[in-house]
Amino acid sequence: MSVKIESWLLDILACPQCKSPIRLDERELDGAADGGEPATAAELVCTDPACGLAYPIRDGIPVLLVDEARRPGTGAAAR
Amino acid sequence: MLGHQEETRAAYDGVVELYASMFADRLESQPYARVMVGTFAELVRGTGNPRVADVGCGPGHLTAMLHDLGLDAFGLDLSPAMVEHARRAHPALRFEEARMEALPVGDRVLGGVLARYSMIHTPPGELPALLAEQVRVLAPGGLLLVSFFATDGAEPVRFDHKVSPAYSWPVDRFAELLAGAGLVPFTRLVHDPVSERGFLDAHLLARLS
Repeated sequence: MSVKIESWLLDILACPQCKSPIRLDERELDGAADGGEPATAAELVCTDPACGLAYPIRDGIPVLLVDEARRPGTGAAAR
Repeated sequence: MLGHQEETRAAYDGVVELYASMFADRLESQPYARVMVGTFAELVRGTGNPRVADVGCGPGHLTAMLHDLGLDAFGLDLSPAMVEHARRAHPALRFEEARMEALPVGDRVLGGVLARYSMIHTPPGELPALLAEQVRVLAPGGLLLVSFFATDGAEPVRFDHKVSPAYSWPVDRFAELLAGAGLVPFTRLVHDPVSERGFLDAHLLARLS
């Protein structure tokens, strides 16, 4: 299921850690369901390469908490 | 996350349905409070920047009211259960899990911030930093409407709020903190207690100069 976030809102949202702009990123998950569309996970990703935290969107709700963000390139939470 | 924030989050997670049933109306029973929200909305529209955050939005009823008043409103709350309720109740509006101490919002981009009883759990020593974070996201001329419990005394008073420990404030002291954060408080409404808790209810409207 793709996630839509209004463009006016994306324009003002920022990384709660470093306050850089964030962008919406949808990535395919490994192990797609048989015969179905590949499952995707939508995240809001900090555009500052030095920070790069990725925030999950769960059931249409962005979780913009540093404690629950994913470090880039890992599946691990930030802490 | 600090201990009192964890405590507040868990406490509100546990009372979503009760809380939503108590506060789901759009201030129909509180015309005076409604006037302050309406005034806030009109002033925000007048800035030409209709984007507002309802910080500590709870079940989202005020976010919806701001939307109905012509603003681009979104809500954020630390309690996942509250945000989920808000999203279900108002599927056309956007809600986020976030901390008001670390807003997921860029600098100087909002026409207004509404903080309706959402600063009551913040210990007095942490309030200046919390206000500074709200000021950070306001555009020049942007407005803050903050509602809280007021006391006649000289100092903030800690009390056992039903959900989580909270503080009532002398209105002048709270206004001084707003001024210290770079805001100009210019309208205040104080009325007799709505709840049996017995504290006065205060609403302060301030503008970023």
